[in-house]
Amino acid sequence: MIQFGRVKMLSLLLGILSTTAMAQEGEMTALDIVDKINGRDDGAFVTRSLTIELTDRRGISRVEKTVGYRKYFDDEKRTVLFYTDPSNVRGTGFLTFDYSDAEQDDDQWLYLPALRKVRRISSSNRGDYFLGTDLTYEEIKKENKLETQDYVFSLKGEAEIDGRSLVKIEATPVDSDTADELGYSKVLLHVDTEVWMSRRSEFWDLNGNALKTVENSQIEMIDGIWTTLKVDVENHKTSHKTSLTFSDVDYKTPIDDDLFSQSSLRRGLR
Amino acid sequence: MRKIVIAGLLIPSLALADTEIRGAFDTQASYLLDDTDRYAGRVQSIDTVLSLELETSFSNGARLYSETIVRHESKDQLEPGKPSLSSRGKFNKPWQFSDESELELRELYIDGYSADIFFRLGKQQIVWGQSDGLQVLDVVNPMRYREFISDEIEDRRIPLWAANIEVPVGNWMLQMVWLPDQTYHVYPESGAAFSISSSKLSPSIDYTQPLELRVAEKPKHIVKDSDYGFRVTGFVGGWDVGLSYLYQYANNSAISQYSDGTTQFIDMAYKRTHLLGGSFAKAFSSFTLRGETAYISDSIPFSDRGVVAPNTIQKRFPKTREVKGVVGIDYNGFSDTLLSAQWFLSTLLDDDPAFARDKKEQQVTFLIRRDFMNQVLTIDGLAVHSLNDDDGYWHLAANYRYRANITFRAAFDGYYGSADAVFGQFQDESRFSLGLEYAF
Repeated sequence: MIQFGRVKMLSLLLGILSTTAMAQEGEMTALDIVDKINGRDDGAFVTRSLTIELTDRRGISRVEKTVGYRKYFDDEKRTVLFYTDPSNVRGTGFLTFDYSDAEQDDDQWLYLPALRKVRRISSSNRGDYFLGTDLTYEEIKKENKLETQDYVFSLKGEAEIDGRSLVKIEATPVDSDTADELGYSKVLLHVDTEVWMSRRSEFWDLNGNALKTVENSQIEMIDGIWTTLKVDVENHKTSHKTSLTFSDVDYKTPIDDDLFSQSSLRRGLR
Repeated sequence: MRKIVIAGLLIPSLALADTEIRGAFDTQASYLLDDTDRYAGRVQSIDTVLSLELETSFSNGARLYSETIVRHESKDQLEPGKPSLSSRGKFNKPWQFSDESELELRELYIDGYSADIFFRLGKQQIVWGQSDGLQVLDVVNPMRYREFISDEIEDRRIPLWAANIEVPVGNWMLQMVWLPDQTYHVYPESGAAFSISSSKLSPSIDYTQPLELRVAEKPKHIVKDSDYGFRVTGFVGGWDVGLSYLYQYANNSAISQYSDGTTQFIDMAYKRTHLLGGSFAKAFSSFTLRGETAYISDSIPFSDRGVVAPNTIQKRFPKTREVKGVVGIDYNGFSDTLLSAQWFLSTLLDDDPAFARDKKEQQVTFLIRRDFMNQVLTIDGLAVHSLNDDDGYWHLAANYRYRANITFRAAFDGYYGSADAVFGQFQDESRFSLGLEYAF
């Protein structure tokens, strides 16, 4: 009885807070919400394991495992990804320096163990798909955030998914050149304002046809940071699917600066 | 037991943390494009390789790594019989347990950190440079040319026993290498599919005359005859830059030929040289510009003096200074596609009429690689063309990743040009291959 009373009280309190939040959101513009998304804390550094499952239209899957590290050096974001499984791709490494100045191209290096060489590579077209997945380099880099200079945002009401009330935001590229770069004519976000993350994002290609849907699920608070542990992407044109599963997410253990170096790529994951 | 105790005393902090075993099974059959009377049938090779990797991580961060391979080439035409492998070091030879089969310890090293200093000790590959197809700075490890350049460079490169120390110095990385392994390039012996016959590279033997082969003793002193060098690399203003120095025995043995009118003489020896090199790379939008250059103090190209009086020969091995380099441009502007072009130049700075090669030699390469179906299918084409002799090599391949760990591949490898030219000499070895790799 006492427990029931506490639960009831807690529900009431959450209800009041939620109502207050929605009232505040009601005054927020789409850009305000996107700014909230972009302002979401993603940690000064993070270590995480990532399992990538790629499934083609016949249902045949490839599973690859990686370990990734990200760290901010002031405004510069550095990431390094090491493939660990299967053994024929083990040792493949990908290093990126992402500069805060949007005009400055990223610096990127790829280590292929078969060649034993670190190759300098140009920053790929933002709309190119990342290493066989259905996510673009831009999406991998932004990690559920958006470049506000690329889009015009507008509110499209609310939607309910899995019992959650979500704010719908439509993002359209600012011009045709940007649309060409990104590969989209329109994006529809379903934003959960409790976590400031889109739980479902729908993309349309340059001809206005449905292109793909990205679902973020298993969003959990880890070390005080909202973190999505599962990303599922379905490409409606190719029927190809990508499933990203994050595990061992750690925002607390410091990462050595030297890990984000070409030498580290050569030496491999330790 | 004693050894274990001693090891424990020497390295008390080593506690076994984790051991992983991985491997791959790879098989490939190659079929000649042209009929030739060299072989019975047109199957050039059926090559099967089983590789086993063992990796043990210790609690202090050190790691012990080994890769062992067993190879069986059932046609026995790439390296017929049991080749002598005389250019390989005493502790670097594979165990040839039949004409067709061998077992090789490819790599065995321990690596780790002592404070900021990285070390890797043991049999390993040390790769400098970024060029494709042809090497300028990638000369630390020698190559095994059992298929000339038709096979993967990973299979060609011979790991060496070496100490590799990397020390961060400010924003730079200083790499120091010491290589006490006297192993040099391995070329297939006479009669093999890819044995060297070009007169630009090897002696032409007149079988009507007696032949006197004078082979100098191969370097064998572990310390005195060891190679050593360093490399400094950094990232400056968006540029990857590197400076390399290597004091080594050239991977190609020096070969000189002459005749006194009645007898042919062929001299062979291993000679030391200094190599000083530099490299750079930078990305500009969708382009990557990269380059390497090297100065070689004592290059000894193959020399053929023809018929001379022996007392007129002052130097058995005429040598020259050599400068070579490569400039490459990669383009990533098309989705899932890499386009790459390279220009190689090698110039001998000193003249000697006996040199068989041209004073200036140039090659160009073109590479295209495109991924399809979310990288399930990759198609790539490589062309290497000599501007001196209009000969070259081309490679066209498709790799189909049926599963993450199962890859099917099909490839054409072709050589064209004069039968006396570097690439053209293998025009009869142009082939179509089918292969399968299974990783576990």
